[in-house]
Amino acid sequence: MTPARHREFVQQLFLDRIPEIRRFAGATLPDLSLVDEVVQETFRAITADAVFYDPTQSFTAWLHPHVRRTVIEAGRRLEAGSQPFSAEVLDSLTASQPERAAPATLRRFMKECVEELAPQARKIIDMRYRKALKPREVAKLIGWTKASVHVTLSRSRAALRKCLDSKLAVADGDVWRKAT
Amino acid sequence: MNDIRINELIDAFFNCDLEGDDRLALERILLQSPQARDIFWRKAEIHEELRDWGLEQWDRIGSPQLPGPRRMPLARLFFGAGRAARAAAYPLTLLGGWLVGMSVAWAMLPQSRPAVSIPLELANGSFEDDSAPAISPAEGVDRLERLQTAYGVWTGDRVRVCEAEQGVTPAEGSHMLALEKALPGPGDPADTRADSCDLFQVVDLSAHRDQIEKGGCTLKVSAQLIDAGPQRPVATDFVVRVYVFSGLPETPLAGWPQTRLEALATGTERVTSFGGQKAWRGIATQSGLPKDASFLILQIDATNMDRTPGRPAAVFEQHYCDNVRVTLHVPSDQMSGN
Repeated sequence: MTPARHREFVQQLFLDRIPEIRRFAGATLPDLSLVDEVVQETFRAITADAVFYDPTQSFTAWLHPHVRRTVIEAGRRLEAGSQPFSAEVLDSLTASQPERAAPATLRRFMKECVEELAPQARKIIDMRYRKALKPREVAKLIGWTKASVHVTLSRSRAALRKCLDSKLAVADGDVWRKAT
Repeated sequence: MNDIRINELIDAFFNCDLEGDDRLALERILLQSPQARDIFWRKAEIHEELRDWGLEQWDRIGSPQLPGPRRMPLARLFFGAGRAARAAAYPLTLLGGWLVGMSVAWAMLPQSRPAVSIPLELANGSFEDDSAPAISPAEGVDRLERLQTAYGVWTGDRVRVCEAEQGVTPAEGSHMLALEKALPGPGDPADTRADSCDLFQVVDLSAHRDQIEKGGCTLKVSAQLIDAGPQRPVATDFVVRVYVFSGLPETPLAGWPQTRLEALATGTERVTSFGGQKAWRGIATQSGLPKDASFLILQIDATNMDRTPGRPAAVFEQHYCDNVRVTLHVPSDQMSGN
């Protein structure tokens, strides 16, 4: 395989794993603005290092240090409260990352669950996740204290977790099995 | 730490509000507790799903209150809105991402002031002085008892200063350092599975206190590394780290490695290898220097990335290090006394 062909091969493997990379970056960088940048920068890094990838070996194992490094690099520009974890913690989290339910199912249920939130909670969630505002910016815009926004966000996410678990359980037939 | 506290800390992380002692506490518990990591991932899933929900809502109804989206799907950064166009353009965008990524990275670099580079007094950074080799536990000793607190002494796990061997010649001069075996460190439990062969040196910054106290100084640590061992499926990460402290080295080194989290500033860089390297690779990291910085701890390590339970302490075949340098960058206006 020529070096150029090998590089394209590595790039194609990367493209197949974009959802996983976005998921890892989204979980480890609380600042919502950097996920796409991590994907881009990782692509640049694996392109530069493609020659070092041995196709007989695990691509995921080779890819992970690049993603982790990019997450840390991206985080260096953030203010203290938004920094990602240390490399050791990121490694530890990677090793324990669970399988994810089907994304389309999760997305549909999440949409339903958000609609079930109380109006005030939905407004805060909307500002944080649709408008991508940081909690202190949300607080400033609506005249709340930062602590109140934090509490509302935390409680809303907990409610969404509960709602999502309930819908997933029904979809898996757990509730039906228990009932019978 | 109880579950309520863990939940609070993880929520603070996702609220962009985790700092100081709380950050250190969460990092510690995530390293120690599988249960804490489970809680983290359950919360991360909601955060991530909400992020995707937010993007989808943006596509659907936009956000008239704001001048423009704060983030958007990657392809839309270059090809405008429209789901079909975006889907079609996505791979193309990524394949073209190298150049774009370069320019984005360049644009985001801090605009640094002109600086003067001063090599710091790193002892035996090229390992040429074989009368003062790195201090390493004797053969048969399977634990690193303590770290050297004296300035200018290499100390660490099982390492060896050597000349050219097995087809590998030093990157510079006639000697290099072989990183050979990972040992449990001081303070580690007896049954610790050692993953990394670590090398340390404490570097005194007091000779440059006048410049550092004025602010704006940075430092760069670089090294050359090679993994010339046989090709293998398990990666080795070569890592160069620098931790900047104030005070005296006895304090952080007595509680190492937990105390590394108390550093004033840090820098880390990694390269990954799977063996079979024919040429040395350069690696470098940078760190800012707070005005009260008085010394730094330089750490170079080779880490076996195999996470198989029960694996014995990592042994590294033909992993070498050479030409370690630390450079202080002082804004040139400080040097001229302006």
